[in-house]
Amino acid sequence: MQLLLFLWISHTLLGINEPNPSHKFYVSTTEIEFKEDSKSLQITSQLFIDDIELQLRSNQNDLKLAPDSNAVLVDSLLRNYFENALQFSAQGKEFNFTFLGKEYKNDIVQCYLELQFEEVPVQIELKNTLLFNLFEEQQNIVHFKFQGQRKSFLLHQKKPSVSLSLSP
Amino acid sequence: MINFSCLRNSTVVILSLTALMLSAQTPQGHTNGNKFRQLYDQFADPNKYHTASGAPGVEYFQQQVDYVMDVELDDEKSKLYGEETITYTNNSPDALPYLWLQLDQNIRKKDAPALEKNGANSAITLSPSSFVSDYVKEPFDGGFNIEWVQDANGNTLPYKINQTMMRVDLPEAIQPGGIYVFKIKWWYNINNHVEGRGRSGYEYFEEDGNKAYVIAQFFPRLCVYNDVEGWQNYQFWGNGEFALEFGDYKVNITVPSDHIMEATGRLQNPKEVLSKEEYARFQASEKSYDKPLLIVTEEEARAKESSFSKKKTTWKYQAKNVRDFGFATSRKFIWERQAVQVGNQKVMAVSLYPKEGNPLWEEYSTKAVVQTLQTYSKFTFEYPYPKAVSVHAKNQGMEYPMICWNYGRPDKDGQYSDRTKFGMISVIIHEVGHNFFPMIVNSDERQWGWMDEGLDTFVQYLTEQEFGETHPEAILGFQKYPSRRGAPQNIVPYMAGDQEFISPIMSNPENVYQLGPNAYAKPATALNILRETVMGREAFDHAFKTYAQRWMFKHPTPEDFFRTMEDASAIDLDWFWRGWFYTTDVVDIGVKKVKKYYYSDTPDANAKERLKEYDYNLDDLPEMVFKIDEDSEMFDPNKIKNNALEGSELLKNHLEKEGISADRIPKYFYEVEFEKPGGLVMPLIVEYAYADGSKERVTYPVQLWRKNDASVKKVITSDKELISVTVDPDQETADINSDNNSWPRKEAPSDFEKFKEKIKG
Repeated sequence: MQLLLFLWISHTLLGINEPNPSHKFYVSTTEIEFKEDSKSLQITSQLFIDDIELQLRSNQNDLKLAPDSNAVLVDSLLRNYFENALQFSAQGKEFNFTFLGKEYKNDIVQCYLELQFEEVPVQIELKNTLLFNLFEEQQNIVHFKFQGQRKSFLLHQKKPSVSLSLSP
Repeated sequence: MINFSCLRNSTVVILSLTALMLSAQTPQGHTNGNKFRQLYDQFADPNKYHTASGAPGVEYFQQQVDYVMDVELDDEKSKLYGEETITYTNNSPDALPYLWLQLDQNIRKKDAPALEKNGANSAITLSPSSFVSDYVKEPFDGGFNIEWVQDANGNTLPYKINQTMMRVDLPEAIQPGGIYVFKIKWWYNINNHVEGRGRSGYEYFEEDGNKAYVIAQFFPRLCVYNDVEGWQNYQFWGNGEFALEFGDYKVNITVPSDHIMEATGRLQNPKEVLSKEEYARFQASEKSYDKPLLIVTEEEARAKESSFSKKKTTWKYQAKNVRDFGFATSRKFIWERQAVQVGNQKVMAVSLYPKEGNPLWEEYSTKAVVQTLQTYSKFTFEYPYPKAVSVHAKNQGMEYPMICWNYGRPDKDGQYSDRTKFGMISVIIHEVGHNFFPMIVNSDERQWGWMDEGLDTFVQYLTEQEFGETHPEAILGFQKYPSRRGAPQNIVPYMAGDQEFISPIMSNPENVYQLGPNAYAKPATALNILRETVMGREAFDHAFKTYAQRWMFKHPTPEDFFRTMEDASAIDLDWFWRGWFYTTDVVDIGVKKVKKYYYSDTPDANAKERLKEYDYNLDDLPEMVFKIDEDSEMFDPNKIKNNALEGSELLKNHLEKEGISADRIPKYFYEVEFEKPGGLVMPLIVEYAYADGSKERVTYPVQLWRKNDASVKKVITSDKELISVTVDPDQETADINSDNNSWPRKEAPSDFEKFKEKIKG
């Protein structure tokens, strides 16, 4: 039960009210597939458009997503944002990844990132702080897929990181 | 056919002997863990109140609670004052020495335990405004102030408040059949629902200094007393909503004279509270079946924003057979009404919204209300109330009898995205739909969130799809209405998630991790799958309607729903309820192996080994043929190029002797093995594709799994060569893992791969 701690915050009555049938919990999903043959991580992150729009508006107040008020700007802000909010590292060394682009699916934006290893480490550390500075009760689900096996992790303010094993 | 039984019987004997000899330990027994066993261990026993068929029993009872109230709003100070007279009719077989009432506003008391119900950690990062509300701001001074509780003659009655519950002690117990009248005077500070996210309260509009009120849970309400819980006085902690009795309401509400109001019940004095022109439009709207008529226009509402009348007006409402009462009031409201024919009844579809809701609300709100009344009535019963009102309130989505609050606001420049539009239409359908579940089919929300949210979200899905069909202009650019919940594939990410954070649907709403998917999406999806894949539309629709009509204006339990669905359809569903509602198991069914085979006169190495093992000599056996499959060293595809019989002279001769023509023998024999790594049993839907391009769809009954929970084999014989096998080809079972759904194994390209391909090109 202690893992529930992160779910709600202490102040006001936030969380007391659950009437909306729309998205009423703050959650993102990131699917990571390790491709051994190409030595790469294929990363697909899903965020609610409303949430990430609110986040990006800290850069530009009147920014709109889906349809984008300025698609080039939105993509570059998303790229910057992901570079800050997702960190892959091994033994203190951080890996860079490429932001390939995004797609909108109803009220969700799906972002595609790719991390190309030169040498594959035995394991990597993923720190996922997507939307943590916006919503204190934000939960980030991570699905890791490797050799047909799938593992799920739930990250939050108290546990923002997880180790992923890349050795068979 | 060839008789193997002789050999088989001896084999069985030998095998059992070996098993006995090999087992060093005494065998340990087990209880019945079969997925198809009946739910006797989970279900409450049927009785005279709730029958085994799922209907109300001969001694079913429920209490009647009638309210007469005078309520006054202090707009300036945001306070609400009220005095209520309650008439309690005890239809139970029990004498009641005290009555329990719900004081839901007490969840906003400064010292409410609900404020401390969750653990908290100090945030890593914090916005300056969150810092202020976290560490500096004085908590809101909410909660009921009870002035007095009196009997009908004005004598003080003793009472005791425990958090959100109040016990009123009676001078004498109310006997079965007895009626007791008492009165309560109260007031409370109205909260800002935008800041504190309440189910009711006001929104403050800084630009013009006005407030728009959506008021509910605003008076002490009787708890339910029934045969299931006794008094349902489980505290209000915030997530589990309400359990309420039916009754008749007479409510007078006094507000500033420039306000426009909507509420539960029929307005009794429209002529008094409306201007002459408004009244004429109000009357005319009763006959406007094709489009809504504005009673108050946007222009008129804008003009009133600065009037701040000091005069007061009392709006009078009466409602029959409702479980609650809510109202919305503001001088900012635009007001429109349209008549809808529902069966023999005329119902008014009504929208009430500030100008901030336009241009979205004038376009879609009333349309969504009309569609909801029509579709829900088709699947349940004809809507029995005289009206259904959709009120626009920021961030709200909350339901009361005949009235609900809904979000969906365009940007300040009047623009809105598709998701704002569909979010708004969907929430209106959902909240108006709540009139059916739980306002009329009155389940206990405090205990079972899914019974109203799940059923409502399911019918919401059907309604959204019909809305898309009746309003093609509203879904321009989409093939069908983009429902977020209901389609089986949409629940997969939730069900495939970390088991540590998933609770069964049959959990109290306070104790689940994610109420949205748990109480809304998963049960709605389960019902959709039940309708489309398990029961079929006709059987499902009849059973679902039977449930709704049996429990209309009554208090059903989960068992009443589960039992009725079976009772009205003759389809045993205990396996479905157990799996989908009582566990967190998932669907994962796949095809494991496909093996081609034929029969030969001579045994292969494997068969020889087996014979040797049991000390049989080939010559001792009666005439028989031996299976040669693709794993066998003898397997030779050329042997059966034209006909499966080519592998065996013995078979050919036998058939000739029996006068059976060789073309009656299929050309190809396959053994297909299906696997079920997932805990849920489901009908097995398979598509077989053949070399000539033809396809065959087979649905094996779910009972296929009753003796083989992990894997099961099927034999396919055909004149055409089998080239692929696909399980659940239309993704209708919420299978969480599609990697094993096809033979030969082919992994569908992921979204990632598709996207990468797309940007490459």
